[in-house]
Amino acid sequence: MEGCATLGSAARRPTSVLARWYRFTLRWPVFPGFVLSLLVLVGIFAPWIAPHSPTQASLLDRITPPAWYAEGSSKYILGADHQGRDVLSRLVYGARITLLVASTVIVAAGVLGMTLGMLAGYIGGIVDELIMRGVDVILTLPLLLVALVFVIAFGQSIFLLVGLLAVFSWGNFARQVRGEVLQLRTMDYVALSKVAGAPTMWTIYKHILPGVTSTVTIVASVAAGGVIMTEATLSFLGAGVPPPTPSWGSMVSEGRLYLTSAWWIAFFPGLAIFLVVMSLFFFADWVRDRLDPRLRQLM
Amino acid sequence: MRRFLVRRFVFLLITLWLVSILVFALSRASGDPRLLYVDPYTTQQDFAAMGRQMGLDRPLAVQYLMWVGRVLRGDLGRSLREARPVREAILERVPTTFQLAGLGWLFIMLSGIPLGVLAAVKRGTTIDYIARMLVTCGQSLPQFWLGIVLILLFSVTLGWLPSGRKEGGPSHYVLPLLVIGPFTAAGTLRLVRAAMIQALDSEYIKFARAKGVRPSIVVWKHALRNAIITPLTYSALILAHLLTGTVLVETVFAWPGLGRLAIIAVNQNDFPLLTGIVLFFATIFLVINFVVDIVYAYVDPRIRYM
Repeated sequence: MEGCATLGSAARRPTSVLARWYRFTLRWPVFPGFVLSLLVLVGIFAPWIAPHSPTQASLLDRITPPAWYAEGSSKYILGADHQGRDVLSRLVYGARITLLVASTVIVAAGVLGMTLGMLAGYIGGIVDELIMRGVDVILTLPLLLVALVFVIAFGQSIFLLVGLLAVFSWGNFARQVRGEVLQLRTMDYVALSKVAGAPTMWTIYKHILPGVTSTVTIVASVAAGGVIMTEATLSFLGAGVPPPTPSWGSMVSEGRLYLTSAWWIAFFPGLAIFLVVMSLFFFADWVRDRLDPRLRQLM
Repeated sequence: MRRFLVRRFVFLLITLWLVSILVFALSRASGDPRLLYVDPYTTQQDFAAMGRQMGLDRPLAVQYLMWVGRVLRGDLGRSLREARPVREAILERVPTTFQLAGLGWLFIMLSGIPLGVLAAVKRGTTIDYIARMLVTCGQSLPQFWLGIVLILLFSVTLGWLPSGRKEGGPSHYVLPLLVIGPFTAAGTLRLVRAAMIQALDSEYIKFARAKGVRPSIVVWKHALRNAIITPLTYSALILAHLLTGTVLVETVFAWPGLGRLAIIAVNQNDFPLLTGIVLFFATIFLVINFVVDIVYAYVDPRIRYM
């Protein structure tokens, strides 16, 4: 792509160290890969990894600083919070919650969005119009505020959180899949399937579905970072994962009150969110590069 | 154009209608609305009278219409904790929030657009790669956490800047703006860069260059004019996003605006206040979306026929 499009502005080879490093990370996502596999492993094996219970308070140890402080203790490597709970253990269990919420939401939204997107694109007409206007509505609603109303009406719960996130995430899947299907349905093999008398659902399943999987993967990898961020944000605002379950967002929110005396309570979970979301974004870039080189030029 | 306008307007109305149904349904689903107003001195008769007064003995559809009628007349009910009309509480805090969102918007545009153009012009160089890395970092920084870290660094440790709370003085705005900035500025940069790259590669730019137009004019006039359409649309959406995003920033910095009021309403179970704020924000949000589409279609005629 670069070669044919840049006659005017002359393709420049990246030469600086930074540019090379960036290219390298795009080609081999070492750091994101490391962070994400750590997240998955820690999330799955949380009970074996965490040195303490994430919810067991021990008031004698409240706001113990991290181990490298003089007053710190090796018992709490990243310190203890305002209730004397081990920050590291809460982080570890928080990874589990993050993983659980993100994967459930992505799978639910992906399946829903993919199905509706394929129907909209393939059937067209009134079905298309209804589904796509539905997507428009969802993408124009302010999620944060709607979530607050739901929470005040039904109370905080993890099911509500997952449901809300899924409902607000399927729109992008549907949009992209529909676009892809509009192209696929003009293919000869789809027409042949129709001519052969295959039922609509069969054609969609057998001939359209395989064509949209890479699109769905790309959208899912992009959406994952956003879902984790939104989950953390809602938990921070007290509208996400209900306490005492350790979620990174709510940990930041609790630690905020002790900022001047115990910075580590709020700092580490936020750092974890940052690293995971950033890794997911880099990873998404990589996935897109692998699956859809057409987009490479536009970063 | 007319057809497009009408179509888009109908869509706006339908969306608003759906939002109103959602809010109304949730307010009913959360339990008997009378219970919000009951205190230990309420008698059975008072309770029944309240029901009649609120129209709870009528069918749900009628109740909905009555509620919509009140909302349209600007009557959003009474706040439970503030003991005054919701409208008053909202209007009082509107300027504070809009000020913050407006300044944030300005900050984002003034940083995102030039940097995006720069990254596109210097494509493939170190500047471009720095810009691209900043984009990814900016988009993955949790705003609430960034705010806390900045407070920790600049207010608590260094003591250079106040940790928020609008009491006047421009220094109070610095940290909130730094928190609002990165996420959306990164998005703007990304969009401007992509659009500029496309524009710079097009035939008319090659022609302009061949004609001997000065490079700065080629970039800032010819290319940017065409490239700016998408980011411009996006920029109004940013404003909408910022307005609801103030919920976070105002919470972190104890900023006395609408967003913080919404969180207070959640914490105190003040349903009328929260629904009032949400309806207000949602309306602004949707109207901005509507206006953006119209402007977009006006600027770029291709849109109208889609």
